[in-house]
Amino acid sequence: MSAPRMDGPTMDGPRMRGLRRLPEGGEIDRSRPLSFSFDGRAHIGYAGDTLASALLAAGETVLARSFKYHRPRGLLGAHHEEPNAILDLRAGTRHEPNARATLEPLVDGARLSSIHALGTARRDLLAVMDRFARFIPAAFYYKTFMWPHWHVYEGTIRRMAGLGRVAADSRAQGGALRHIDVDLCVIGSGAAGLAAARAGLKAGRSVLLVEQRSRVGGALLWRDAVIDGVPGARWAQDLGAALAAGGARVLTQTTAVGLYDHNSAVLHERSGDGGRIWQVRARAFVLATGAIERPLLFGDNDRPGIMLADAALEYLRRYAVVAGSEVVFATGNDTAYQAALAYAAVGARCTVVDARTDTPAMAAARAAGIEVLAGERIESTLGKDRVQGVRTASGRTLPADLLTVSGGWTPLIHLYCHARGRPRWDAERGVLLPGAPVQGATVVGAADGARSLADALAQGVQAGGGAATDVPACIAPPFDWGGAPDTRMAFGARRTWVDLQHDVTAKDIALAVRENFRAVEHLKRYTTLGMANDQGRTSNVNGLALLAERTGRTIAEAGVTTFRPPFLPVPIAAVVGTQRGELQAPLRRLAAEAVHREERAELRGYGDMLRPASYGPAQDAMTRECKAARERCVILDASSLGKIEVLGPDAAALLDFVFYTRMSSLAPGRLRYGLALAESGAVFDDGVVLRVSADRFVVSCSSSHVAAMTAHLEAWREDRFDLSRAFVHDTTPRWATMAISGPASKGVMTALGLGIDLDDTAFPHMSARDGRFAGEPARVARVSFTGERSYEVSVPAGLAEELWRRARTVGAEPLGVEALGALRCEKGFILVGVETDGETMPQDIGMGRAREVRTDPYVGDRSLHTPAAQRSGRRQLVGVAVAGDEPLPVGAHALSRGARPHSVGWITSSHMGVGAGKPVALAMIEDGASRHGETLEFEHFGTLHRGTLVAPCFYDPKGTRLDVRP
Amino acid sequence: MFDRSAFWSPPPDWRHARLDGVGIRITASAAPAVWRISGRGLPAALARAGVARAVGPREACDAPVYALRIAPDSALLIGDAAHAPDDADGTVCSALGDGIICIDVTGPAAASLMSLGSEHRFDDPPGGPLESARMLFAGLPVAVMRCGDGWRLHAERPWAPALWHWLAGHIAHCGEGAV
Repeated sequence: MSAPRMDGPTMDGPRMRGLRRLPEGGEIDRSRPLSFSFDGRAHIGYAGDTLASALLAAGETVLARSFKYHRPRGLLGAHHEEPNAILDLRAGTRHEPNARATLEPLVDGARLSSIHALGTARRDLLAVMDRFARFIPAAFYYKTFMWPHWHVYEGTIRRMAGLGRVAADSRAQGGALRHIDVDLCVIGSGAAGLAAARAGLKAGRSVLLVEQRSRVGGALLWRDAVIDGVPGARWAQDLGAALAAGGARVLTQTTAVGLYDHNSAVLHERSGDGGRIWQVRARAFVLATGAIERPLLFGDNDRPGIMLADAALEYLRRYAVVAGSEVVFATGNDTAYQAALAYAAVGARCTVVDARTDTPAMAAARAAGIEVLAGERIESTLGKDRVQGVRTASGRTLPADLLTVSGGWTPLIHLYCHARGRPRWDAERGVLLPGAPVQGATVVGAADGARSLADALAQGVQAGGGAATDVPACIAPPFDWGGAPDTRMAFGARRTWVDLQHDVTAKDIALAVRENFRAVEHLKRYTTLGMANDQGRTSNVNGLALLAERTGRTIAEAGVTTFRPPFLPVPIAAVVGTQRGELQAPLRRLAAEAVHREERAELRGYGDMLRPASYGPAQDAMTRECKAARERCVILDASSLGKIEVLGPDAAALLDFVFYTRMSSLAPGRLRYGLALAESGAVFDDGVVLRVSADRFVVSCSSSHVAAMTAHLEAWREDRFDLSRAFVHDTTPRWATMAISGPASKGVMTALGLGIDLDDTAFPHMSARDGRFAGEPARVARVSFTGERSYEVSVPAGLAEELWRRARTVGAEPLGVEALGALRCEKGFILVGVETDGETMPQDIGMGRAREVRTDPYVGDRSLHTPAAQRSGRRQLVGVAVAGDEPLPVGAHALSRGARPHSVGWITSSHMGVGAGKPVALAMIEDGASRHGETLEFEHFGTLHRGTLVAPCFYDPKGTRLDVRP
Repeated sequence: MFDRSAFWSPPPDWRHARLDGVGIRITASAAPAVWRISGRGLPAALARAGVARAVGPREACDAPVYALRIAPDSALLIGDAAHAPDDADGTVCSALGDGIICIDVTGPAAASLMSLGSEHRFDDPPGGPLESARMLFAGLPVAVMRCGDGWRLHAERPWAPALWHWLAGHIAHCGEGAV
């Protein structure tokens, strides 16, 4: 590949000002200049630039400050391996607080700001932190900032930590989640990936090709290669177009962030604001994810102006940016020479510092006029805020405005590890490679350690299902992996940086080893090596090499860590996508919601249902509604209550097994309250069961538990019953249920005219009758949650509004869920999940009798007879009476007596009891049932309250209100 | 402070609910009558109702009376009152009345909208004989049937407003990101 030479003044080393853009070449569109700014400085870039290439061309070298020491940092890489250039981006309405400059395309009007600096990246007042580096090495926080206690320092340290800041008015938008199902998903569109995609398409498979960059081709876009007689970049573009034309789906600017079970992957497409998530299901994955270059280890190897050699080549070839005019190429492998030759071709003064003594690549470089210092290494760099020169191990000083480094290559095996692959160390290439194959995914190309372009193409074709004859012919320089990291210069006088994102040095690794953190997992966590958002792309293998060197082991013996999703950070906006607002966590709706809105109900979510909390502002409505319930008649929309039919010859047996309370003895038309337990013996749900006929029951469970209860019944049905004799049908959606309650409820029911004999003898409490409403079937159950005479009227959902309006017309007043909570509280009726938790058993809430008398098996029976179930000290349901007018705060903890009080339980519900005429509360207290009369202290946010334990019913304990006559 | 009435959009009036987009039309109606039938006698029960067999999500059906396969021995029968089944030999039946809202998604862009809601391959030929019509669509429980030039989503009445709001919010995204 030939490159155009630079126009303008002769490139003259240190006297050359700034960095240059070649007048032609690259992928940029010079007819479309784009304006942008960085920290207030205005610049011009071009369409096709990334933020990074535009900044580089504009001469911006200090782009960021490091995490801990606030050292100036510039561009190291050209793509996702870049650890430093994370910026705040504002463009139009879009704000990205942590934009990765090497991935973001430049847009007109972009305003870029440095982050994590007090001031700007160029002038950071916190740069003084570096002077205290010796006092804050790795893991300093385990040894310092302890006196008098950590919290004294915590606020300051937290304010100094972190990267970009999310603006309070940020409204990033993500695109709609998309699903795609294909035969073959190829991740990576370099040579191997393109070959695999073409082979797959040719074999008749549906193909999805995923590429992180803006166009397909991978490294073919900037490295020397000829495939099928044409330059590699053109071969790639032509093939990409042919794939799309042939029906393959091609996604660019898209990263595969994770590979998951059952052949699924998640992609993040960087389009628009937050981008879009794709969920992919594929019969097979081909992981052609390539490899990235490793930095070298030497003193002050983090200065701005130090760049990976391959990145420098990519900036030159793809964006026509000459990153330096006086360039030193430090290497120990042949692949860096491509960059050296390319820079020499555009007129830069180039010097190669090669740790090896003699290779053919050196001869070729010398023939091109490049000075090659063989057998040499870089000891340290010169300069303050950017590289101005290098010092070699032999003491020679070389001027440089760009130092490129190439310490070998690291295959990208992240997705392989996501699929639970375990990597293995290849000593000859000095790399971690995929170990045993994983199901559903094949690793090819450089990611699998391919030694040449020909190898990569062959692997790709095979993975795509093609034949050897499909492998294209190619000419390319041999690929030199470079061997294991060279650690010889890592412990000189100047600090050697290993993890640039977390400011981890070689000395930090040595410190960890001295402190006996010798296992790689310990090293990682003690030093935070590889734990930043780049997951150690440019630091892991160097860190392993240093660990091995310090502990006298091989890298293979030192061990490896693994990778977990996501491969790259994914904006929350993309994850949320369009599932925002009411789409984020949708609620079920009542059929009569329109009339509740007409009545100015305050609507809230209760579980997964939107229900009226009160009619009018809750503070005013509570007392009014409670009084109406106790003195007159109210109507509550109880449509959310479950109505699960259990049918068949074995329906009774199924219910007897699932319920703690036996239901088979119910007569048709009768109801019974019962508990359903988990296998642990804890209360799973409560509800009322109606027996309609011999083989038909209706389970009315908690509103928020309908799906769970249906599943619970179905699971046990399938587990131990003849599937032809027992069935579970959730009929909840069919019915609208209005609870009509209060001393005047019988009169309202009479006025409704449902065709039911309402005489208490004919229609006693805890029974049900069928009637008709508006010509449709209606079922009425006498069951009460308020403690007053009550009727639950169930009609077809489409008649919900009509029933509500009729009942209101004949005297029923609306009752909200909040007031219902107060009414049931003073009656001592529990709410599962409020009074109960995952440990509460029936005997804890006063329902221990069935445990004593039942001998037939039921869910949870064995757990009820364990020592834990029978020990003293279990929390038990009690009422709590207080003096005065103020209810106790919910959640207040009851304190034990003695020198060191601890919690012995807490207040679960608390209200002003309208019927009781005083504050009422329920609580779960250790051994509470045997402690009635005892006065305890309840603590809540530093305030102590006193309450006396009593029986949990404060109102009508004998239940006489159920049959009260008006 | 806790009043969320304004946050939650009111449910649509199912008698007039309609959404139109480019190449897509969405309409809704309460199912005239619905029953859940289960048991060994299911095929005979369906036959008595005039339905040859229950269909899964990719089998097209345009009949006014039809059945959706829910489980190997269970189906939803959608029809009118004249076809009311009863508990016959080997079956049990539960009336679901108007507890189901039928939402029809039709038009050239219907497939694109369907692909936003589920990873199910709606366009593929019918699957295995026991493929259930019930699935999660837009994260909500629905039963899906192919009909006309689109699909019919059968949603439980309490969930139907959430499904409608999802469809309304995504109708503009049809075709976005399509490859």
